[in-house]
Amino acid sequence: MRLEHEFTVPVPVERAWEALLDVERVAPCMPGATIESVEGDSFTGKVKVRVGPVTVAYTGTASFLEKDAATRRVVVQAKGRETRGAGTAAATVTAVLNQIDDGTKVNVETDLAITGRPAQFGRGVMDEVGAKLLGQFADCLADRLGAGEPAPERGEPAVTGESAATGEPVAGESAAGPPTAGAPTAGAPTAGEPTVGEPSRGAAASPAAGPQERPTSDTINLVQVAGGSIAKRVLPVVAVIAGAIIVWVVVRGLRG
Amino acid sequence: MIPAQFEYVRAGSVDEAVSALNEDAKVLAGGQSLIPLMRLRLAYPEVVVDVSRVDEMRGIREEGDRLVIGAATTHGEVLRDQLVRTHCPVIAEVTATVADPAVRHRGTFGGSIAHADPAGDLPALALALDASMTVAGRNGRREVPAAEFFVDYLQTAVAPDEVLVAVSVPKLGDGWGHRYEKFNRVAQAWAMVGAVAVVQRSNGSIGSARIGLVNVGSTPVRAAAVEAALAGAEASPDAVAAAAEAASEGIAPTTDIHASAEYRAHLARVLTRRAVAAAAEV
Repeated sequence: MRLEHEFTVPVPVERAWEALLDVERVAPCMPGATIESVEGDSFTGKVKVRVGPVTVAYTGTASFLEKDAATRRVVVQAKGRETRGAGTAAATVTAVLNQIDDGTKVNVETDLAITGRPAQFGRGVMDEVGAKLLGQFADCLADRLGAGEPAPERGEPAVTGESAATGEPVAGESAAGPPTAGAPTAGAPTAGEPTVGEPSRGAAASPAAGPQERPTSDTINLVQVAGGSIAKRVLPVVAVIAGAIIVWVVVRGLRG
Repeated sequence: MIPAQFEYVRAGSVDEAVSALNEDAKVLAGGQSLIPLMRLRLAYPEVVVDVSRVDEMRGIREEGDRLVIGAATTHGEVLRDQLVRTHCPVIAEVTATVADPAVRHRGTFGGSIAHADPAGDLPALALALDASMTVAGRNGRREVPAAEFFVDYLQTAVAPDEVLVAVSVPKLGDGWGHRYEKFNRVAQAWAMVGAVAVVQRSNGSIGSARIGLVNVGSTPVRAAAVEAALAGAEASPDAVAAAAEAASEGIAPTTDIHASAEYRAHLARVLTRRAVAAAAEV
């Protein structure tokens, strides 16, 4: 199955490319994503999406196939397994950035293979949920790029403490790199983290709103990714997108 | 598959149900949607609150010019109900097409609406009838009009700690005709697209028309453009056919293994024409 998504951000392509590599800035924009570890060329994370009564959580590994700054193109291969189930998903995600008149257009092309889970819905939703997730992601990203800095806290204040509490360090990664290593903005993502809960307040309630109410498992361990190299950093971003798309596909696969 | 572990609460009253509900709880009525989801482990609520034996939520009664249908009334009960057949027979017509007899025996009117699958038959019907939903929570009860009830795919205005208690619909008197056109390949399947029309006829013209569309968006959809075109129109096949062309306006069908978005838009127009024509007896 092939999927295409597209969104634009109102900044020049150089800045968008740079910003997309800046995981502290970008990752909190993706609803329902948790980054668990970055090891060399592979990255492990979770994506959890809630749509009405349905909660789908995937643990996935992504490996980086291509990152070409000249053509602004990245390719990531992701494999996901249901956290609570036997289904699997595999995806190859290609993201390309293009300069347009008033900003940068981001095209995401995804090739997917899904197993498991018969249908229990009359209507599948991958396109809808996918468009909404990406829409939220793009809105949030555009906000942050426009502001030049992480957006001010807009989420429920109550989640701040929780997010901090869930930033469990993973052996190796964070031990070597304390929060400040290579991350002058180490404090900022934490403050911005509640926006994971509500990336686009203005938007009408959407399926993506579900997982965002549970920042506990959806927060991103910024401490460990902050210390990573650029190569390490770009991976999570795209993998998170890949992971989210995997979830959309799973949800769509339910369609009778 | 076997569901994940959960706590089961059998509520004896609406208040009991509400007090047992929280963020990680789900309401169980007939279980025809929730149980499969749990067995597939697509849903794993920590608490399941069974409202199937809450007396207040069962049965159908008259309230002035409206019928009030308890949310936990089964499809089978709705189908056979004399009040429904007398005052709002379109509900019986639509309910008769819900899945298969086994599902209709257990599944409930309110459950179907609260599940809010846009491919479900009853959400579009509730929308077309301008039904009013009674929702109970810790802070009491509120009425939610159908137009504000269906928020998004599988999502309604009912919060996780609230329960849909009843659905009230207007009685349709003399002069109202109805028809549900459901297009599917096998009897128990979801509608590829469906159109339910309730039309008021008066002296050779159409007084007003209410049309609900199934499976053409992330929520059920009112064919507002068609309704506007029909209001006061001549009750003739040509006028109906012309108005029905607007049925694909404002819809967002998807493409899947059953049908393309284009084909669904086509079905919306054709089924709307058929449903309105039959309801208006032209």
